[in-house]
Amino acid sequence: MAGLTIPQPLGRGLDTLLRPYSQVIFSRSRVSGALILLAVATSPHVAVATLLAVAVAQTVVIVAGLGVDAARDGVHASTAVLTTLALAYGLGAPAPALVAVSAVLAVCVSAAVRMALSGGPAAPLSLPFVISAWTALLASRVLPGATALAPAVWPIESWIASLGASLSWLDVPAAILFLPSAMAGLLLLSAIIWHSRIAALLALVGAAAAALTRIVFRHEVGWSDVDLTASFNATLTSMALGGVWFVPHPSSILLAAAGAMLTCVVTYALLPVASTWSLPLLSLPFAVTTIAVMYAMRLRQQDRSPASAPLANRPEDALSHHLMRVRRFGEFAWLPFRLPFRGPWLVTQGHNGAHTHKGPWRYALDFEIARPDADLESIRGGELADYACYGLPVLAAGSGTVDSVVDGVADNPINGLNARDNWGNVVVIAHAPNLFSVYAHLKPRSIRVKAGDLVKAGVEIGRCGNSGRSLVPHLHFQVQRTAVLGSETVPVDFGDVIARTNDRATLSHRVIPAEGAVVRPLVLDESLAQLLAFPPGSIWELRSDDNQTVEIATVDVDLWSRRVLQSSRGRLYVEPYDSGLIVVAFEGDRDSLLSMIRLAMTRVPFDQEGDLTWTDRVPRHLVWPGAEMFIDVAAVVAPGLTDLELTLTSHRTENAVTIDGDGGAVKTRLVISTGGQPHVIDVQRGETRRRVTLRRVPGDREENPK
Amino acid sequence: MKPPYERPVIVRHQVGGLNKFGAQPAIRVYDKFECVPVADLVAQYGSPLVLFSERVLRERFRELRDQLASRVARFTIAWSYKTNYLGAICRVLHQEGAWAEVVSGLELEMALRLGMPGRQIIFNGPAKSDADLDLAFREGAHIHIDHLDEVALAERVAERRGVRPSVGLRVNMTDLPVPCWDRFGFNLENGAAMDAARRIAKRGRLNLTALHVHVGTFVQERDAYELAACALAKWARQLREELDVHIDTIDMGGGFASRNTLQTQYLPGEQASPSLAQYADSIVTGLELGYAGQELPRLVLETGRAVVDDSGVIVATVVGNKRLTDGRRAVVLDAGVNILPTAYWYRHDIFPAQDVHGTAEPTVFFGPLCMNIDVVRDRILFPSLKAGDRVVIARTGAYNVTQWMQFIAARPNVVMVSPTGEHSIIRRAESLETLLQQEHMPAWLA
Amino acid sequence: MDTSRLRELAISDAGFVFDPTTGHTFNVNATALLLLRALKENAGSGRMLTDLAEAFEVDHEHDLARDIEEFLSQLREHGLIR
Repeated sequence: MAGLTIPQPLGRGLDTLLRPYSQVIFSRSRVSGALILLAVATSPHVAVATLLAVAVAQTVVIVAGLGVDAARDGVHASTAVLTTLALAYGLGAPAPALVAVSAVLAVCVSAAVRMALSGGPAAPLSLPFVISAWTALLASRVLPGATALAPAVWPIESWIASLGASLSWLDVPAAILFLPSAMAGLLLLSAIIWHSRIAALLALVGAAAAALTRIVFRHEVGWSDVDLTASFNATLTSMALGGVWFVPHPSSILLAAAGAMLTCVVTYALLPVASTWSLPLLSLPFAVTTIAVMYAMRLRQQDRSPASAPLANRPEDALSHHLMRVRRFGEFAWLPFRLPFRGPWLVTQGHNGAHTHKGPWRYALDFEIARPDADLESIRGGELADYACYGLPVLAAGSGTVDSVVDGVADNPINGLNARDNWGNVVVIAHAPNLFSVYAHLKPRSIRVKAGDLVKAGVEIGRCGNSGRSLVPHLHFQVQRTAVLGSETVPVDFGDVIARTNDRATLSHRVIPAEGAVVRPLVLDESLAQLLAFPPGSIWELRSDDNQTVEIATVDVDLWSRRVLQSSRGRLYVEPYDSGLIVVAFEGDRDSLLSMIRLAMTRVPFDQEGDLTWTDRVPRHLVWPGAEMFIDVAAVVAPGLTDLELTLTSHRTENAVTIDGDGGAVKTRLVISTGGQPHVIDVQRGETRRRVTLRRVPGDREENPK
Repeated sequence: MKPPYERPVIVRHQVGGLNKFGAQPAIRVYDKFECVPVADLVAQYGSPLVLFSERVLRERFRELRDQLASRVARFTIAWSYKTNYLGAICRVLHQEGAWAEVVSGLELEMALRLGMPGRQIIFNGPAKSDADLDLAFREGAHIHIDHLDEVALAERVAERRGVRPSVGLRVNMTDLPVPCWDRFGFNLENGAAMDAARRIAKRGRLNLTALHVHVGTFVQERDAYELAACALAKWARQLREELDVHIDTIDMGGGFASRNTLQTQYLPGEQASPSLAQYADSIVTGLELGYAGQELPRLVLETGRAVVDDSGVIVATVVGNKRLTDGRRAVVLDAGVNILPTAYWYRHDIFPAQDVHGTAEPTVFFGPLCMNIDVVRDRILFPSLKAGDRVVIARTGAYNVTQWMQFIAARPNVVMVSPTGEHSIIRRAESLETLLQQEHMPAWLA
Repeated sequence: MDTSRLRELAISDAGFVFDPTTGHTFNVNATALLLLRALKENAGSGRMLTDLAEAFEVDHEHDLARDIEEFLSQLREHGLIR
């Protein structure tokens, strides 16, 4: 992020120290951590206590074997920091022994809760903190010499007394740290803004929603700490729901506001409950509300608007991951489903089709083969073998486990119908606990899989037949929420679909084939696939066209199996899969040669077609340099305005495949040489035009390329 | 208004000819080629004129590609250069993704000159020289070995170059319903192929990764492909078990019949020749039977006339009429077997290029050569033509521009018409200069 | 030129010709029909030329004399005149 390069050991040390602080706002930024530490330092003795807590906690994390990475991550230690802050506020000046023991407790609870909730849709959030803070506070009551019982709700008077001035909005962020200081609030706010502008926007939304709720519920009553507690919890909820666990989008902002209001209500509800044990609410309403909302959102029929963000990160990262990858190519196992056959087939009945695709079965598709010189009507009648698709392979549309197989139903003669065995020979594949695909009317004794088999997308599962409720040989395909045949169908997109109309072949990467369209999956061009495989360990040379600038990039693999081309000036993340290559993200100097590649190579399909056309939508702020900080926010509030739409066409010659991209003011050209020459990338932005050549440097691990 | 004049004709009814009321069979007038008037093309490029349609060429190739695509996951279609090696034709096919299949050093150089990377060139043929193999290995082309001497030569060249190239073996089979072409490759049934494979595996200088069979030419018996594919697949598995040789490519060659009609054939080609779908079906069925459930290797097909025949026509002009002693009418054209050698093999369809009047009568079309064998079409019902009329001879795309003769008349322009109606010369007509520049007068005759 | 056999032929206006002696049937087009009729009346080439020119729209490309000559040889071929 920052341009500073810090030597590794120092960097690691800083992470271990600062990340526990930055994780309070779910950030990994050292600067944010430093700002928060400064915020805590407005009460010096509290700062010392937290530093002690961090030291103890991190030691425990390492010594207990939770891993050095966990220590660097700072998540467990951050629970300890918050616990110390709560103790400090509740007890004034907690004894170091208490602080140390509470830190150990915090780590233990944090790890335990994390483990208990792992595998589910929700994250622990601040639950470990609340549990360990309550435990510590309750335990402190038996300590000899303990100061007054921690008040159930902290009296507003003491708050105002320490401020000496009227309340300001800065108290809300300060309350996150349980520190009665406007300066602390300001520093925390700066930490949030530094970490993520979108999070800052969401914090504002949360605070506003809380204010609105207060007006609705408590407008006659004076401001009290209930409102303070509700406000800071609402702010946290809004940040979490609006940009961390869901992709930032106008719909996620709505969700954030709604969540914030719910949090206020939950705060009012929990108040009497907590006060019976004289325990402060801390950030329990936030945790409870957010976890509940996350579980509830899981039951949605479709994961969009807002889409859930699986890698909980900075909102900007979640947004960019969504725009660059999920929106373009789907999340599930690389692609949405693939067409379950090879070669061009005609969609004879689509979604909501006129014949049988109605009601609960409306999201089904029928496929037959289109002959090049005759329409289907003219060849009706005759024998099964006269039909081009009879006996052709049917493939699994996605990876999964075979759930059930029905075989042994005879083929009908042409125009015969078997209404008893409606589905004929049929295979059901489970892709997820609530996602099943169905392949019906298959040829008897052609099914090569059985229940329990693991299948990958594209593997043959049977042959097209005419069994069941089928007049002429065709493939019936549908996706359901349960494994029971005939249950409710859901619409799913197919990826990597090529449709041919009027001599133009168009590639779509998320489409539902329409009735009457002739569609086919990609046919792999092995030479392209080999050329652009970017194998780990390979070395690539980028050269500017005046030969003055040369960058060398090596290819590595990251934790998420992405290939990372790392040069001295940046990192390019690409994902080659079996039928294409996509560029996912770029970090680094946007003037570098490496950054030019991501514009020209947003997506390269490895298909044998001579002339192919497709479109791509890339968020503009990932394309244009400058002002990224605030374009991120604009992208959330007004998506679409910040998108760059590219139309790409590929064209083949004997020894090259040329891909031209047209995005209005941005034009790109990528020439992939299949004849051993360097690849050439041209980018034209407005008036400026730049050219880069890219070639693989021989002599790395793989065999010498020609 | 008086009715228009036509030449007086009396035609006797034959059994099986015209029906007894003399009704004319509908004659198609071929006055436009890809929406460009034939008359305009002749006015610009002269007569005779060889024409190619880019659209038909692409469509036929795509049809073959689609048929294979629906059946197998990995395949390659190679274009047989000997069928038509004009640069423009090859380029169209390479744009559609075709590799190059060459059978001589000359054709290999042609493909390389066009820009084909060596890895996308298949080099067949029984007569590869040292220089040919050297070029092939240098460029990374795939060779299919024809005989044991070639094995030895290839090993020597590979040794010299310091490479271990991937090669294929060409195989022939006796147990097929077509005549065995045992002059090419190693016979499978008598063990010669196995011996060759053993030899290659033992020496280790060459890496045997492909098997190739080419069952014949204009093969209308598609069972031959199914049986050949099955036999080859079984042999590939046997090679794996016995010699630990991994075959990753099976090349089923070509020989697919086009829609032309052979001279001795009763049914017209459109009905008698199997479709591309049927060929693909037979081949893939044979492979699947032979591999018995295992994953298929990459399938390569080498196609020629099945893809290009339909896209080419020859436009000719009527020079004169005469009547033969047996009553047939004879028409003399300015195009003959010098530029249409396939007239020996096929009964080409011929169409008038302008409106016709008059009764159709049995006609023979002769070419311009002063040779008795110069017959373009022996007997075809045709309406009357006068000198200067044009005719279009159909389905001439294959083998004519590679096998035509420089004999008596200069070879004419070859023109391609694009799908949008643009047209251009792709091979210029020859002239006296073309001939003379190859000649040299020896000193003692000067 | 012996055109006696022509008299035996049955010629319809539609151009259908039947030769009862041999049993052969023929088709003639309009111009041939006119010529046959003229020949039956023992017309000479001159008259046949003018008849044709009067009855049909002739453009200058056609060599009527040659066509008539050829037609006569066809008739000879079929044995209808000698």
